[in-house]
Amino acid sequence: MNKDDVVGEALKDTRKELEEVDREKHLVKAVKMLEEVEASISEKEERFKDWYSLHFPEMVEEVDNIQHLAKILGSEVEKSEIESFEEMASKSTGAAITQKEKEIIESVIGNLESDLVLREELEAYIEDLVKEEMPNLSKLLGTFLAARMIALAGGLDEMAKMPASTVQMLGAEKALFRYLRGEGTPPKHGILFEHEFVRPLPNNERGKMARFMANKAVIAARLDNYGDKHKGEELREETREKFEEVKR
Amino acid sequence: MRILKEIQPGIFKREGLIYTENSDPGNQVYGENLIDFEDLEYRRWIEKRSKVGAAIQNGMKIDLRPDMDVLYLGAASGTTVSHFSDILQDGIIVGIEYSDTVIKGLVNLAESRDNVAPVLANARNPEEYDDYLSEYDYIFQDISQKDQPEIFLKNCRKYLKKEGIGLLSIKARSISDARPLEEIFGEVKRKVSEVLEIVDEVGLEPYEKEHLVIKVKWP
Repeated sequence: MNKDDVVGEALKDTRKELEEVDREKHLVKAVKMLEEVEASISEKEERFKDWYSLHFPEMVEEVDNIQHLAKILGSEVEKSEIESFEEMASKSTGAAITQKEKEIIESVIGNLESDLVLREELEAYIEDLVKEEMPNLSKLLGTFLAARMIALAGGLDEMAKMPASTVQMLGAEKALFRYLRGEGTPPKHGILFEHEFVRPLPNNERGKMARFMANKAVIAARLDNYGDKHKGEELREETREKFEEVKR
Repeated sequence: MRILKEIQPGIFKREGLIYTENSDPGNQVYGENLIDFEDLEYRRWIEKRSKVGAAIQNGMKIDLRPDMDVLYLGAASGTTVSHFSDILQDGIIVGIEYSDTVIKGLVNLAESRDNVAPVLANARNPEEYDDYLSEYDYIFQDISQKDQPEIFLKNCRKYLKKEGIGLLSIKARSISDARPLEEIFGEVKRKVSEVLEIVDEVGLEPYEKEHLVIKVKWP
């Protein structure tokens, strides 16, 4: 190839590769976005409850779930006007509000509501995508743990190439590097801790289980990436057996 | 008139700052200053943004000549590549980059300069880009990976011409978080000198922390 052709070819090839659809990348971004949205919701929730308590503290006491609270306050925030809470309102110790406060509180709860909707949409999107693209891993770990694992690994392809020991540490990088610097003990698990077969175990058994899980997770990821997409059930069964054994 | 002096082929210096002649006049690549001197436009080579820039400022003669073909490993978004592109009059640069996010900058650069070839590939597998040129006069590598010396050697073995020059930027902290600098650099130099001859080396302080650039050729 002469030099001009090299430049032209390389540019063409690279452009083509960049254009290819890669759903995993969207998954990684969606998981990160979901984490942000969740963190933001929980902060706003606290702040909003604190604020609304000035006006109607009894309501905040009574309805802890933010989704329910948003639903109730979605159409009306003035306590005397909220349907089926008239009695509670009449005994309320909260202060009255003017039209101005009413408006701004409505805006805040409206914003929270749309965050809640966004969270649901993200969750549904992630769930569908994970089930479709990595059925084995999602069977083994559950959809969200699988999704977060892929996000930490940087993609399914990347995870499939990882040794199980690396997978075991995903999410525990801080502790791992602290250990490598010579301070503290090695971490047993990263986000694998959240798995239903790891978390319930006593502290001294979790490392063993996490190691086992990591091995199975890598096998699942490799099958998803290169091979048989229907081994999830089998892997999960093997893991369950191990869990029962360790639990005893 | 403040004078602009050519200190190495294609590299100019004025009042302590280095420049290359802009082959895409009127356009900046990464926010660097543009200056005019005797009817030509020059781009400031910012040492803090480019390991090669820092090495030059610290006195290294990089031995890049305008007629060379360059293999650039870890081209990223093309900051240093753009200066190489200014220097090379007849040669081309094949820039290897693994991340499809940062290579977008390099693709844009390639659109406006006719000697930059962006390639999305993993430098660990030199076969991935043997469709392009089969050998190079100059290989530069700036990759922050634990196996950076091995990657460099693999590529030199496959692509570096007999009389070619290699330049390797080593980031100590990609190799080990904890071991002392001297030990890390010593180990890399030992590995490299088993295959190639190290002809020059320079640290990048104060522009970059804990980096060393070494220049090699075939023994």
